[in-house]
Amino acid sequence: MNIQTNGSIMSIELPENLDNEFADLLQLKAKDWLSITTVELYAFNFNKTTTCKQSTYRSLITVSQIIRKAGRQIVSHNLDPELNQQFKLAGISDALNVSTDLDSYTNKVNQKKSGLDVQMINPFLEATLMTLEQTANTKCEAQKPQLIDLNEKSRTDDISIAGVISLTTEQFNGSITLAFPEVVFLKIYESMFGESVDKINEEIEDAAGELLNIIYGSAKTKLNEQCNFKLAPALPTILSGEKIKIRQTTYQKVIVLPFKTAFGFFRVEISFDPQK
Amino acid sequence: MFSTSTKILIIDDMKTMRKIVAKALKDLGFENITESEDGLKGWEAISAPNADYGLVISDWNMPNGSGIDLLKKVRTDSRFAKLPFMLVTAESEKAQVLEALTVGVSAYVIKPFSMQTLQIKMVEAFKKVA
Repeated sequence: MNIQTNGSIMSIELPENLDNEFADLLQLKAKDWLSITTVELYAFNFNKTTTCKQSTYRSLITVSQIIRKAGRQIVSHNLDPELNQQFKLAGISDALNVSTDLDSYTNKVNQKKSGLDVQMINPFLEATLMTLEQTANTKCEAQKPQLIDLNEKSRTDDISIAGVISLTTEQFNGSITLAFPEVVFLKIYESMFGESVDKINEEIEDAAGELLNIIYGSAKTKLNEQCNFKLAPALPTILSGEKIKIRQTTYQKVIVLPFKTAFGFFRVEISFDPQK
Repeated sequence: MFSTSTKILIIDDMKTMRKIVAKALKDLGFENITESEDGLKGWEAISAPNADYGLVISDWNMPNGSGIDLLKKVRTDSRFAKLPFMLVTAESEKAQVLEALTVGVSAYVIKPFSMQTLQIKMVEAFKKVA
């Protein structure tokens, strides 16, 4: 059994002969697969399969039920005409969701993800612009949002201060990070209070935390009202040091919102794993 | 009406926020400003003998006593029932705003706010008790 996961789609290439032993294995595996919360669609590829014993039908249907009960989707594709007919006559085509149009399923899954991305971006974008202007007396320009590839291991960073808030909802788990290079944030701090500081200290860290607090509070209200996410109030964690490397290794998606100020760039990162 | 000599208490667990509000108040001409870092200390300051605050500006979410709990305490104490009390908070959801209004907040400022907004809301707070 060859299994490949690409984002929210798991492709399972079934073997040539589906027998009882295989069917039992499949049932066991299905439960493990469901623990990968990022997968939404399980695509069973019958490309290599030439024979499927009738005694395996019950297990195949059970697997389908397990997947659907978890709120995910199943599609079976690339059946040869004989196998297709066999499943039709046995009345299990619907249960296995036999389809010749895999693309329509994958497109739907991908579109749904894009929807969540856009829903997330705008409230944080607007909140950041407003907060920097009104609270920090700093005008900034939003740059083009970027979707970061989690496989990109060699991200270098010039970040010296970052605030992080964890996000937990029914629809996704994630985090939001507000990250600045030292020189940029020291200038922003100066703009806030008219005080020139040459090094990050506890007060500076506090200021970064409060800016994130305000950004999150503002975005949270919109996301809860518009998308019914039920985000709760949360306290930020502040990190500071030389060249902090931020690698969101545990989330499927990382959206980076870069902002340009007169002092340089900073960014907001939104990381999340969709639950559904 | 209030004057710039009004004694103001700022309550927020985040030092930066206290500093931001204090700076905004100073820019508006107010000089008599003190700070507390949570609801408990805020109550101690308000109820201290001869405290005589003319305005309280409090955050909502704080350890050791939230702003809304402090507001409830203030409003149920006959000594302070009419004390102008503003909530300055990131909590802007309708349920929260409604709760604050029900308890008797004088004005509600949602972060982020501009200095102009703070000034307008302060006038609103003082008008309510005038």
